[in-house]
Amino acid sequence: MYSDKKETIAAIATAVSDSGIGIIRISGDDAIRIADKLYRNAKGERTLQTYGSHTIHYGFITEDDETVIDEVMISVMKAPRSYTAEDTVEINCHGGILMMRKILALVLQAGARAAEPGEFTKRAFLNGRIDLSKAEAVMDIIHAKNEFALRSSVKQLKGSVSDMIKEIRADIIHEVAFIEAALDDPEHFDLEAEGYDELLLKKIAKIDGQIQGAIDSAEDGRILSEGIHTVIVGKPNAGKSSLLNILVGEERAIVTDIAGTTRDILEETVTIGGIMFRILDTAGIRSTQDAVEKIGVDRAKKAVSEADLVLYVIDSSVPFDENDEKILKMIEGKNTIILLNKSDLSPVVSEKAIRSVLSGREDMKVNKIIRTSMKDRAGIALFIEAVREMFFHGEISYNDEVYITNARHKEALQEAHESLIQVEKSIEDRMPEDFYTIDMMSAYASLGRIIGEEVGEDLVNEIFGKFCMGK
Amino acid sequence: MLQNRVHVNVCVVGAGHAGCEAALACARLGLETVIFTVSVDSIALMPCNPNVGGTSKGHLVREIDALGGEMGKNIDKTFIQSKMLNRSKGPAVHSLRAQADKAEYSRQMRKVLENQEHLTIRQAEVCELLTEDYDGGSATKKITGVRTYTGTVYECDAVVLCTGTYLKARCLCGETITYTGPNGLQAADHLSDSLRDLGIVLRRFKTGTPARMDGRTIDYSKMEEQFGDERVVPFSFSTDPDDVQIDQVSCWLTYTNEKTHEIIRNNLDRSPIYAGIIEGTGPRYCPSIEDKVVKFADKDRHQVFIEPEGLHTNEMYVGGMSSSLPEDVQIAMYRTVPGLENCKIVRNAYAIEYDCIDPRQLYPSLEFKDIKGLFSGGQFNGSSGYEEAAAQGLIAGINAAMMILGREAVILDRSQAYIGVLIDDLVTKENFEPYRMMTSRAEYRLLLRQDNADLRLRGIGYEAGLVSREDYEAMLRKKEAIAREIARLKNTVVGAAKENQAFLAAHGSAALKTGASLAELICRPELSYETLAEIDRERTPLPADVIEQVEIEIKYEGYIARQLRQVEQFKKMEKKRIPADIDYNAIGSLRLEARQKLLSYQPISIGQASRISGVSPADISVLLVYLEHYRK
Repeated sequence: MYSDKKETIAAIATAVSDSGIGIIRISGDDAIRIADKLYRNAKGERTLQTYGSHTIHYGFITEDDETVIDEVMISVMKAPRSYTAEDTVEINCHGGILMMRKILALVLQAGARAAEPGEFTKRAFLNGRIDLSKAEAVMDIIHAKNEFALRSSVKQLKGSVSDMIKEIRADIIHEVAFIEAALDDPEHFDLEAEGYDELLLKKIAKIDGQIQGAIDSAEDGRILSEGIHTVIVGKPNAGKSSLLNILVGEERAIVTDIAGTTRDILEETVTIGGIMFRILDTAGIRSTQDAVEKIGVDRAKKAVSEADLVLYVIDSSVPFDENDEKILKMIEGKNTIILLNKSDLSPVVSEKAIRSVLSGREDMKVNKIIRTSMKDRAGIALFIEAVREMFFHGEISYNDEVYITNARHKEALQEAHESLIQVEKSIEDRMPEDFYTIDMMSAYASLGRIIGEEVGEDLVNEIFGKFCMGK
Repeated sequence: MLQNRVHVNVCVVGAGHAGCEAALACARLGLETVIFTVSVDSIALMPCNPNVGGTSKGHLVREIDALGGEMGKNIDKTFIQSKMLNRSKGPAVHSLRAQADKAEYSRQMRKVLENQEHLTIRQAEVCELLTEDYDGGSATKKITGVRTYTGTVYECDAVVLCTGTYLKARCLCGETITYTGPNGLQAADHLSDSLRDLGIVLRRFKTGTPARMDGRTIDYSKMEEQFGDERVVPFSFSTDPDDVQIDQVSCWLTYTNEKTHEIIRNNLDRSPIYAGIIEGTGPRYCPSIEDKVVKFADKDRHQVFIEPEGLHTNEMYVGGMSSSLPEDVQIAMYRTVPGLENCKIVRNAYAIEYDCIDPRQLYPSLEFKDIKGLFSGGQFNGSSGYEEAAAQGLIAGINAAMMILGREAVILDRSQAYIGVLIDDLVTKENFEPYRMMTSRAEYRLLLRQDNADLRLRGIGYEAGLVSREDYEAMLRKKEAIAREIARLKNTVVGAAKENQAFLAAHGSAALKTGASLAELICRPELSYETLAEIDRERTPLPADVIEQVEIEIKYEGYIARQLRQVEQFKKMEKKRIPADIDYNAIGSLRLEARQKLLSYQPISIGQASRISGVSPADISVLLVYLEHYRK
């Protein structure tokens, strides 16, 4: 259900930028009070509330009042003279993903809530800050940002996490249905006779433990697979795996490494120059009668269809053949960088030859062709530069919404946790059972937000599905 | 040919529980009203179970009463057993349920109708609605009257359809099909076509009822006796509790067994449902015994309640065993149940199938979106149950009157009443079966208690004109007394004096370290307002209903406060009204699915829009921006 609770919102307001500066924006009645909890000036004093509107200050973001997290510039804009026409604080911090995420988490902990997609713009409009003639544009922004957030938040949630949440929700709704069935048909079901309270208390404690585990994971970003979705394709032995190994080793900045869902797709998350990439290495593409290999090829196709960026590795020492044709067909319309590998060997496929193959195909979006030698690490620097360029020129995009998805998920987990604490308290206070279900349903709804599921008729369906009701 | 023409203000079609409330509301608001029924003898008929109330339904009756409806008063006059269910649970789920003397209930209600000024009872079948073209809001037609099968035209400004299960009804008992309404009464076969011609979408629902037994053939010694409460609580806030302390009759509990289930399983092919003869959708909460046996195959027995149908009949209702199996199977199956070995059936169990509407064609005022002046309530709207019907009938009647009087419609929201939840669910959600109220459907149920329905709704009933000044002022005085007593309990501090500690120790309660207010002590689970009398010396005697409210509000204060905060959020969105002439096609940024849903539902507020499945929070944001733009 739509709600406006906790009026002060926060989000990362910048996409990753070349300048290396990121902005966390906080807007709402409590914006200054919230930022004040975290900001200390150069002398370590708590001074934010004394600053005038439209001023900018040097200082530090701290955690627990002492640990310095980052050196920042902080600006204060008081209502109504800000983008949203509300009190607004912007924290200009160092632009790395981890830093921005850490500061956002602190801001949320201090009392803000994660902004909905497009919410700053929506508030700016509803507060009269944006010209009415631009209503259409405002609606388009909200729409686009939500569509993106929706796609990314469910897509990026790790399978294991969403499975766990589904399981927990099923457990919760089952217990609620049991209690509600008993309340609805008291002559039929008896709650007291079975020592139900103690059973429930144990179940809730177990569920809460799982949720707390997920909150910890969310804290260091382990519940999402973040980054620009990049897929490496090519014929067998073209050098795909070497490329992945180089990228992983080169930067030594692996955030997570996940064994792929299949043995023939390996996934790594890597940050290159401040940009996060989720790189999938696929099985080599070739015509085959082998059933197992065929499955690998199908999976590669699927991975490509979901990719933001394709890295097509060509072994320049073997001739172009029908397998390459297949690959070209597969990557139609995808942002692609071609790596002409094995430049150390005598080439049979030249850059010119590739260009002539491509020239007839208007549906290809090959942004760059780079000669590399994985063996000598030649061309890797050029490749990284090309990727960065594409990113900062907006050819491949990574919406800021993704960064906040994690924050929203964590917030929802936190809410579920608080609801369950309340359930435990109700049980311990010997409240009647109908009080438990109020908070159990809140937890159910909070968890549903993470996997994009509403409550709807779930409870009524569960009651009738599992319990024989009625006279 | 001469044509008989009559002019009135309102025509109410059907005199069941919805029709009676609708007609009484209109007449009491001074409008000339005619109520049509296929049989005057079937006014306020209870063709299924002999109860009024029950979990969540008891809440509805209380709310109907608080608004100035009749159901609560009528059952107080005609009940033969009464129970407050869930007494050991929280106050939010306490529910009153009474056994009615069916014939008396019907007779009493008929008497009320017959003596109501401005109200005419007419035995006739309405076969056609008369309309003219109209252009206003979403409506393209306007009601001008109705025509009866015998040819009379009743010109009117509003029609309230409360046709129950009578439209194109057919009853099924195994292979035998009769084309009648409930209880063998004449079905209404002509109105459906007229409704379709007006563009109203109809569908088929089904429900069922168990057999009635000759009480002389039942062996009660094999059953558990079930008594009424020692102290009966009346349904109506206007009934003096002392007037309802009557001698009560008992009900009886017995069980089905493996033998019963075997007979059912062996004859499933002769059930019209399992044989595919019935097309309508039946309710899951009131399944036939066949359904229970098939869907819950692991249960080795099901409860059977034997309930009297009245004081002046020996017919007994067999609750829990509704069926559409053929007569020979029915008798064999019933006779496997302990106590029913020699039973004789008076009336067979049967399933009934009927035309009703998809209620999403209605505004929350229960007026049709497309037809000005056409209202509807009850099973015709796809609900089930006497109480759900009466609640809708009352609201439909009030709003028909409000429309004629040029006043604003009475719409209760989900935070005000179960009636609000009921109607909002009906007009906003997709229902695939007859809708029954449940306490779990009310998200703010801690606030919507049966004990405070008067405090919640008397004012609205008074505003509408159905509650007397006297009843309204009595409620205001009660409210004030509650507030005064709560304030006193919060401000009266008890010290750690010896006698207080002794009192606490005697009640197994922790000793006081410093002073505590009486309110804080009431919050302790082991203490109550009553027990505190010993150390609360300044207490003046208060009526029981005031004490009840005081205690609930103090004991559950934290929970109540949390729900109130949620309600505040909810209200914000409810208050943002959407104009009836909004053009959703002009809002480019709405997702296609959302646009289609909004177009078909025509929600009246942002809140209602947000509850439509398929409308996302993002669509709501877009809508808010659009409305802001539109407003300026």
